[in-house]
Amino acid sequence: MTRGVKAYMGDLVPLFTLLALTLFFSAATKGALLSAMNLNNILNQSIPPIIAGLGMMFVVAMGATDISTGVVVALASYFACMAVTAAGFWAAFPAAILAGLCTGLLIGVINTRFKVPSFMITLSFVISVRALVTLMLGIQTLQIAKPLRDLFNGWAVRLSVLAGLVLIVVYVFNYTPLGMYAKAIGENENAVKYTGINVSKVKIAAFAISGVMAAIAGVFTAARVGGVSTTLGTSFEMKVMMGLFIGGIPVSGGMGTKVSKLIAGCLMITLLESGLVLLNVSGAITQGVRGLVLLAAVYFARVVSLSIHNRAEAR
Amino acid sequence: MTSDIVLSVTGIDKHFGATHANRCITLTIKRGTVHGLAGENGSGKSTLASIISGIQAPDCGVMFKDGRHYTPETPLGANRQGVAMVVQELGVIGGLTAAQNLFLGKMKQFSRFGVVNVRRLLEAAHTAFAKWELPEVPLELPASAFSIEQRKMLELARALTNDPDVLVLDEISQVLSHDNRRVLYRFIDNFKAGGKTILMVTHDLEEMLAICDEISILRDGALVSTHDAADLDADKVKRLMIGREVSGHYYRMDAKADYSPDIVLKAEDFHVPGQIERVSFELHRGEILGVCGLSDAGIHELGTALFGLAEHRTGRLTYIPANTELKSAKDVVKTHGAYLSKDRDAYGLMLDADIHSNISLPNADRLSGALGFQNPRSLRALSEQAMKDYEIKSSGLEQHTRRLSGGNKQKVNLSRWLVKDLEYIILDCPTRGVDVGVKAYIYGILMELKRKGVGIILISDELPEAMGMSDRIMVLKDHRNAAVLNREADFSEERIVEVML
Repeated sequence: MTRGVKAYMGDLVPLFTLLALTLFFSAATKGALLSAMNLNNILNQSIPPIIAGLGMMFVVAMGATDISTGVVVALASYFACMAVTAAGFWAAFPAAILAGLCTGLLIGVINTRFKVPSFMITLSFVISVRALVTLMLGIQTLQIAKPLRDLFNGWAVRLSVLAGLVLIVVYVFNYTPLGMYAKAIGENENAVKYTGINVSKVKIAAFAISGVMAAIAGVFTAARVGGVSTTLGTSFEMKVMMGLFIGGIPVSGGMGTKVSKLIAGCLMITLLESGLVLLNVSGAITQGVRGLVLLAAVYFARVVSLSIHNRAEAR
Repeated sequence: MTSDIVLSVTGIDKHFGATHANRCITLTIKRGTVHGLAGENGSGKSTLASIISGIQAPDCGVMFKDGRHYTPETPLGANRQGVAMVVQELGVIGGLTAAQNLFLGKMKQFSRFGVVNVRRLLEAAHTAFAKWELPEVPLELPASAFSIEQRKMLELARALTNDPDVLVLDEISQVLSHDNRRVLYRFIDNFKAGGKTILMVTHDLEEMLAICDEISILRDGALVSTHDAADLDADKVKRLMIGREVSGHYYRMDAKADYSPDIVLKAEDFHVPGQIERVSFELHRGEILGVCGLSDAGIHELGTALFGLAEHRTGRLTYIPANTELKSAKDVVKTHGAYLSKDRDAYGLMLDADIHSNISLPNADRLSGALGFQNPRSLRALSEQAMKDYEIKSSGLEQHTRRLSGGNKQKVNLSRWLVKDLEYIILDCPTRGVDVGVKAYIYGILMELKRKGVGIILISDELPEAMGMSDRIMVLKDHRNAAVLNREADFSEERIVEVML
């Protein structure tokens, strides 16, 4: 029982860190951090990486990598905008999701059928899909339809979509075989294969989920910035990955992958950025701090997990 | 000359956290002998062997070699003082060629101005194998292309390049098949004849009794006693290891094959290019079908292929009761079949996950309801039942599997399949790397399954085990089914080896 509590404490570390960061920056900024407007900002900036992270988690849990998130954001928003013009307002989501799903499925199939490492496939997508979007857009910038923008400016819609997605992913990730298999592949892929589970199917599903979530995050982003340009979503995947790993999700995936860590991690980076901006720290320094914090977080996550292991071993 | 002492250890003590692995062990090893270390899993054999080889430092205690203070701070230090070890875990580097592995850390002697003379390296590697008549591995291929057995031979050859006068072998024969064990025994004889000494750790008591001159028995980290091998027999060793009386038999006692005429599995013209050549057989309800063969005969590949994980497989495998053809691992699991790989750590368990996750993995699909819902409580109940039914010793379901003893790991590995009702099971060396107690326990489980009418395919590298447990033995030779022998008529080591060769 005590071991269960200790393992649980390990999961709470990111939440404590988040709390500590909040306290530090609210004190340092004399409460400006927690002003209504700033909170609105923090949440606004956290929502897209959290949503995309909910999908990417399935891939990271397997110990694989998906850096196509940023270009999927651009691709999906493009199709969303086109669909709104062609078929009306509600076509935005199906069109975006379809684009994300197809990209994810394609990555999954290439990964399992031709055994190309996921990092390489998605790297090639980062380059080629961006080119595709540029080709389709030309030099124009697509404006997103006003009703869609208005819809996403309301908190009720944003928060209920976010909550819905979190609930769905928590369910799939923790209470269905698919979630268990994804984590198990991160622990030992051969062990999964040798229990008669179709590893390829699980992988394809994971990449597909990652693509769909990236697409939904894309619609949110496009609604916030008001349209699609050729650079929409550039290096967005880095932000998502930072959220995952700062939250303490192991880089090698496995059972330590948790939804709570993702959410805490994403909030942590936006909080950190916002706090530093409020303290008038220059952009370059902010970026430097982000990089160092990531390194520290990954190291710290390892130390915590090792100490829990060791204590369990020492009995 | 033969009676003088090459190595003595006095008062060796070692703790790992709260575990007292070695308790004040005092032991002398005579020159030119083979000295065996016997004990159950966790009795401290491997710890003692690794202290002697300089892999770990003792908390206290002193060692003498050739009458001089012996303080190996690293394995390299031990090498310099004439002690080398072949460890239980595989220690070759997959990306390097065999020759490079062989002289890892000693490359300097082959290089000039930083450039390695490959020809000289290969010659030296060739000599290293030839000197002790070990089966040479392809020297220019990367070690990742080798079988476990070839890697072991490579490690043995590497240890010998140090020209040690004390060689420590930890569980080396576990992974070797019948023919390579013979090579090993021949090597041990030659080595001993040169006045050199071997310290040997093995779970195979028959083997230990056959090749050791003296045997020291450890229990709970302490030395129980040291005996002349001639004064011991397997039962006596077991008694000393466990500290109480154990029943003399652990194989089944009946001399007759005994199974139902109903067929469970039928393989016809089973074929995998380069691995299995048109093998056909039938498995009956309640039958234990042993599978034996030399190292490259294809017995382990047969297991993988039956489970549907071999590529380019042709021929038919049918689950007779439902008349369904089994094409994939999924089909096997669906028809209540199961498979246990020989390499438990690589293909069986998730070592860094807890026991609960490991037991849940093969049962998740079966226990999930509408929308794939898995009730955490029913999964937990299943794991708890498996822990209880199969007497897995651990600190709880959250314990990480890596830290379990070999026997308990194997119990986790088996129990996760056995908690559901099986129709048939394919076991590849299920008793590899487990101690006598767990071995007997696993044989007990096999008999229990047999009574329930489960069909069992028992792939084994150990002839006594296959003969002790099987109703029939299928002998593979050069990837083909060479003969199927019956328990009543043909079970003798000579007969089986005759077919194998």
